[in-house]
This record gives sequence, C-alpha cells and structure tokens, in this order.
Amino acid sequence: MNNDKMKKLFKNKNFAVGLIISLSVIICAVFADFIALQPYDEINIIDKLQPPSLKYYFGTDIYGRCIFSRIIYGTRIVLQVGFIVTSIQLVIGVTLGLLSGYYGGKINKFISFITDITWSMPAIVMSLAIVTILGPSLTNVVIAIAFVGWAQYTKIISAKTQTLKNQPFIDAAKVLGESDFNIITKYILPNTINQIIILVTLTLPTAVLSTSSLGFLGLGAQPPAPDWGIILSEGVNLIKIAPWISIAPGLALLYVVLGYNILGEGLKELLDPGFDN
Amino acid sequence: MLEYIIRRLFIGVLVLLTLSVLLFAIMHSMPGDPIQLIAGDRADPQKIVELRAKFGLDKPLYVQYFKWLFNALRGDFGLSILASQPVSELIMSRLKYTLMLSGIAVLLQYILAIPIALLAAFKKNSFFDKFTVYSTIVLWSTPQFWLGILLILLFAIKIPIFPISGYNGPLSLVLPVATILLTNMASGVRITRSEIVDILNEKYVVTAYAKGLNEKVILIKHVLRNALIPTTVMFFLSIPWIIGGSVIVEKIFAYPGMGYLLWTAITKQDYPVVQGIVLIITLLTVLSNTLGDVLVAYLDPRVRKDMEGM
Repeated sequence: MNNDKMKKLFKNKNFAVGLIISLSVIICAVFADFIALQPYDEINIIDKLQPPSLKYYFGTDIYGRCIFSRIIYGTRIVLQVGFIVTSIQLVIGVTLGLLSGYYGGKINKFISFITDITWSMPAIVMSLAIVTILGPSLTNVVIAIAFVGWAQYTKIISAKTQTLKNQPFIDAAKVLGESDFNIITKYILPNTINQIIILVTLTLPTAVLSTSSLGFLGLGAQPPAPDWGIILSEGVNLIKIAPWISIAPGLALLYVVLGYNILGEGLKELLDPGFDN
Repeated sequence: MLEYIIRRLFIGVLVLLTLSVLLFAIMHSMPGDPIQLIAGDRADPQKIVELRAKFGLDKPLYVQYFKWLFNALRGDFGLSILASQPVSELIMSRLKYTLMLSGIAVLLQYILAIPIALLAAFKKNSFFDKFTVYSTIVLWSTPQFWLGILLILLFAIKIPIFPISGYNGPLSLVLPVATILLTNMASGVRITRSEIVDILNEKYVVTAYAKGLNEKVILIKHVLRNALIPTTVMFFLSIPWIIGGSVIVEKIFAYPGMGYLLWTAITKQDYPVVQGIVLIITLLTVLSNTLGDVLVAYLDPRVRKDMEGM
C-alpha cells in the first residue's frame, strides 16, 4: 500500500481509533503473561474482596484473585471466540451466498429457504437451545453462535453476486472459457471483499457480546476460566459489598465491542460511501 | 399483492415446520430414557414395554412426531419434569409478564426513537446530531446484562428508588424496561436517522423546498411519512429480538417472565419446558417477520414491484 492510501485511511478518525483499540486488545492477549500482575487463577485468600488499589488495579474477587489479571487473560478468550465464530460464519455464509447468487434458479431458491429459516430463528434463544443439547462449554457456545449467525453473509453476498454476474467482465471471462469455479473465486469473490469486510465488523461485536452473555448465564466457558461473562456473574451476587467485580469486566467488554464498532464505522465510510450516512 | 402474502405465509409455515422437526429431533437426541426414569431401575421388562406403548414411544418416529406436533398445535406441550404441571399452564402464567415488559419497551422505543432521529437528521452534523450518533454507538456496544447490573447498582442499591428484583407493581418494571430500551433504541435511532438523511436528499424533498413550501409541512408530510415505512417495519422486526433478549434481562432482575422460566428450565434440564418456550418464541419471531415483510410490501410500492417480479 502506498503512502497516499495510508494517509487517507488514517485521516478517517473512526478507522484510526477503532484500529488502535482493536490492536491494543491483541497486544493484551499476546503479552498477557507480561501485562497481568499474576496468573488468572492465583488465589490469595487473605486479600479477598479488596477494592481497587495500586496492588490490585481492579480489586479482587471472593477468592482473592486479581480482577485486572483475569481481565487481561480474558482477552485471549474474546479474541479466540471472535476469530473462530467469524471464520465459520464466513466460510458457510460466503460460500452459500456466492453459489446462490451465481447459479440462481433452484439453487438460489433452496439456499434462500435455508437462509430464511436460519434468519427467522431468534439468535440468543436458538444458541441457548443448542447449548442445552450439547452441554455448557465454550466450544459449544462458539458452535451455536456461529451456526445461528451466518445468514446475514449469505443474503448480502448473494445480492452482490447477482449484480456482479451480469457485468461485461464476467461475460468476457466466460467467452475465454473460464470454469464456473474460476469465475466465482477469481472474478466475483475479490469484488465482494468490501461487503465481506463490513459484514465481519458487524458480526464480530455481536459474537463477542453473545458469548459473554451465555458465559454470564453459566452456559459458556466454565470457571475458573477468566471469561468476562463469568467474572460478571460471580460479581452479581456480591454487588452490594464488592461492586468493582461487576464493573470492570463490563467496561472491558464495552471497550472491545466499541472498538470493533468504531472500526466498522470507519471501514464503512472508507469502503462503501453509500452504505450509511 | 395477495399472491405475495400467500407466498410469504407459506414460507412462514414451512419455516415453523422445519424448526419443529429440529426441536423434535433435539428432544429425541437428549441423553436419558424417560421411561426408565418413570419405571425405576429394577422394572420388569414387560412393564417397560407396556409403558412404552402407553406413551406411544413404541410407534415409528414420524408417528411420534406428528402426534407431538398435533398436541403442540392444540397448546399441549406435555408435563414439566420439575413442576409436574402442564408446560402450557406454566408458560401461560409467565407469558403475560414477558409481553408486558417487551410491549412497554417496544412502544416507548417507537415513541422516543423517531423524534430523536428526526431532530438529529434534520440538524445533520450539528452538536446534537454528533452526540446522538456517538451515544448510539456507545449504547449499541454496551452489554445488555452489564447495563442492567449498573442500573441495579445505581438506582436500587446506591439510591434505592426501585426494587432490585422480582415483580411487585409497576415500579419493578422501570429498570428492566430501561435496560431493554437503552440498548435496543440505539439501533432504532441509528437506522431511522440514516433513513431520514437519505430522504432529505431525495429529489421530491428538494423540489418541495424549491417551490417554497413551509419547512414544517415538508418535514411532516414528505419526510416523516416516508421515513415511517422502514421504521415501522424495523420495529416489527425488533420484537423477536427483544423477546429473545428478555431471557438475559429477566434473569438479571429475577423478573417472573417466560425468559426467566426458560433459563431455569435450561439449567435444571427441564426439556419439555425448553421445547415449549423455544417453539413459542419461534412462532412469535416468524409471525412478526412475516408481518413486517408483508407490511413493507404493502406500504412501499417499489418493494411491492420487486416482489411481484420474483
């Protein structure tokens, strides 16, 4: 990328701020061992329920575990979940979208039907139902959220593919004898990249929020994992005597999700000026 | 138009049927044999066969499915394992609380979001507009369960105005409604605002200004009327979202609605109750989606034309 393009990117304040927040989360996850004050499951019963101080920035919980360290290690869970959920949604959603948009006809009807069904399912309730069958665990939550949320990709990519496939350059490729597979992967897919990037920034924050909600309900990652939803649910019972346990992980979640959303705003403005005002 | 409605209803029914098969399959793949549970560990094999026949579990799967579906259509979801009470009774006793909570939230959202969005869009790039846009992004990014906890901390513990949990009177509704409203209204305001900004740039609005119409008339007659179409539809589509999200809000406030019942049923593995509630929420979702789609086709001639071409 040349310098001019970089300048244009960073002139967009939303993009710059969102990127900095997102990068800071990645840094926390990668260097958690250096940033955290102690291991996330280290118990110091003498120091239990300490309010925030210089020794424990965000205070301690009922076992005397350092909330700050737990939150720092929690970024790893947040990033993993976001990455895996988004990858699964991308693969299912984009593939189906390309196929239904390119082939049209019966294939389109069949895929739109499946998409409609998935779209009609109330996401959080469906994830709850899936986790009930599979049993509570982080992996199962990831599976549930991924399989409930890909429909958005299919709808938008399918519509984009339909407009693309009637463009002259696709006809040219056909005349040159390119196979369908090549046309889809080499000519159409690269042209949907803007939509894909915007969709990722839309689904990523939802994935993070849903996982922590299920963790909060006790259906996701299991203690002593430093999942932010778990820390919050542990804090709720102690809210009268130790409100800091509930405040800190919520702020962390807000920070991450806000970062993704602002980044998404910036990307929308940069990639698709007509997308939103 | 009629053809479109029928088509849309047909799809809605198909979606419901497919989901009911899924739900039935879920129940069947559950670990544990209910007959074994009823008969006990050392039951006579003959007795087990009799019991299976009594509950219709000896029939082929598809017969069992249709029997279950038929019963579900009549509102019979079987017995709750925990409460040994009909699931339908259990749900009905909770449904009104959820509908009350969600209903008030949806209504308030509609009443509040439109004027805020209209003002922000009309004064685009003003301080008020920027404030609205950024606060919607912040609210949209706020975890709903955390907001609920914050509100409890502030308005039930630090300044004890409202009850912390449960339901005893209208005051108990304030904090849960605020939790739902603040997080959901953000997207409502956002979408309505960008819709109105789009309309303000339309040629017919420019024309209306050019011919010297009064600003108020333009805003109400030309802009607001057209903006109401997508906004109304969007609010229809947000109903299932709000009902689904009520699981979390009701859990935080120990509010005696359907969502709280679902959560307890899931943690106690009371499958018939889970099945019943998921089916009802799905039904509500499909209904409001279908209504929303039909409504947009009815209100917006452009969409109607597209649909007829399908």
